[in-house]
Amino acid sequence: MRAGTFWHFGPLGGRSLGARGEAAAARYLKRKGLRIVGRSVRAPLGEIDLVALDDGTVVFVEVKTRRSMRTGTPALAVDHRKQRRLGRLALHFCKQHGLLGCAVRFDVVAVIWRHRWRPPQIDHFRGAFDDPDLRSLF
Amino acid sequence: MLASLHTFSLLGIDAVPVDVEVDVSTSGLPKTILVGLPEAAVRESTHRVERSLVNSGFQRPQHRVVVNLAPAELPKQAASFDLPIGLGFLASSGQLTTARFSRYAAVGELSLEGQTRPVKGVLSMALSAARQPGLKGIVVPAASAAEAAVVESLEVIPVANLQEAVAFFSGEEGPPPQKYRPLEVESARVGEPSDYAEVSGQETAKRALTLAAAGAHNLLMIGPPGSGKTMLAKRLPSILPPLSVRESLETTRVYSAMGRLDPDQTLMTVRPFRSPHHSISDAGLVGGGSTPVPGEISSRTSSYKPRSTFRPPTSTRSLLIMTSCCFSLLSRVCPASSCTEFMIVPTANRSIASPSTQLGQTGKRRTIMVSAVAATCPPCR
Repeated sequence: MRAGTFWHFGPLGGRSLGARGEAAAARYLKRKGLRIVGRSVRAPLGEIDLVALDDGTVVFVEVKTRRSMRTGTPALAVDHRKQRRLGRLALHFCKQHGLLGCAVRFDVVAVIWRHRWRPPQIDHFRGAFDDPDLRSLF
Repeated sequence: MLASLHTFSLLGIDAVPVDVEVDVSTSGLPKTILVGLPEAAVRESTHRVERSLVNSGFQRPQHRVVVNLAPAELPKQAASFDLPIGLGFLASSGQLTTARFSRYAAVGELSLEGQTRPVKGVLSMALSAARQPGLKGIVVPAASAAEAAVVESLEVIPVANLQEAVAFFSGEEGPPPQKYRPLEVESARVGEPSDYAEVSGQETAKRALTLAAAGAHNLLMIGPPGSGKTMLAKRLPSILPPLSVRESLETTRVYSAMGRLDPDQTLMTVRPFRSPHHSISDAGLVGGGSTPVPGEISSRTSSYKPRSTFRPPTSTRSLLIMTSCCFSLLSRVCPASSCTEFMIVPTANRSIASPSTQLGQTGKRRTIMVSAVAATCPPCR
């Protein structure tokens, strides 16, 4: 049997690196006690990789997967532009689900998958950034 | 939760009371918003404050933080808001009780480590705090405490770092209030660099300088290069009357607002002597700017200006206006004034009283204005 076909977040093999990274990150967060409530949540502006609940805090997670650290940690790729997009996506999600009164956090999970058949190295940045869009009302 | 603190912002040489309101709410997207016309140094303070909180062993609020500096229309400059913003962060996230916030103001810049750094214009802030009815004291960086302690009707609490400030505001017996020791100030009096007694000869010039110094008259010196104009002008401060307490306070306020005060000096005891370059701009000489800044002639200066004939007419005009009124409006954006009593000693090489062949018509007009500055200024006391 190929590695990783057992998990209910989907098979770890046979898909794109990004999809496998997201599954691995979801599994990692679940093990840390977060409840995953949404994966690849689509909106007109784009997609949120993972939405989780952590003690009443809504956590929006951006997962970045790389094969090596050659270009620095994958978390570096979550730049200002991406943060702004995530902020708007989060606002959209909160408005749609009536969560505007809830505490919200943005996390980044960096997955470094050096060898295809070995477990990846996972770094979790809690509260990695604040919503950078200062002009929006919420 | 909401926390509100008193602090001060410099406007020219005056300190204006400012309220810092910090609100931390757990709902909404996490972000830190700073409003109330902050200039660049104030806008960056949230980053400094965040790291100094964490490095001092406190918790950074993870939620939505709104910091408001009121009154909203006053432009805030300088980094003296770090300490009040940091204390506001702690109070509104429940890490500090707010019992003393209404009776004590706080000013100070923070390092990333949590140490306080000296701020400009502490004397003006302390004077302003003493005028506020509800305020009992002011918390200042330890390095600026001696300067603020000049104001006797105010408790001046020196703090070396953020933890000390937190300990004081949460009701502990903090560091003892800084006391003003006038004897030490007297002993710290700096000797004049050049003495008038060293001049031999030049009896006419010496008599003119003595008269001018005694009556606070302006003086124009004309003579060929090497005849001793600069030498005499440089020795003028040593025969000027000593500063009175009020004059000394005002002069110190200007120097402190410009950040030119020596760290171990609390009060200016010697009448300042400035020798601006003759190509200095109008604003540099008189003061001004959209955020008002004092200029070279602000407050009780004796100022030596070499080669006055090269001054553009506008500067001479603004000097004339300044000599006729004691207070100057420094900026049209913010109403800031600075006391300007000064004595000006311009010098020139050729006899500018006779029509100059090179300068032509405009030269004549300049000539008249310069001699008017030199002749018709009554002392502004």
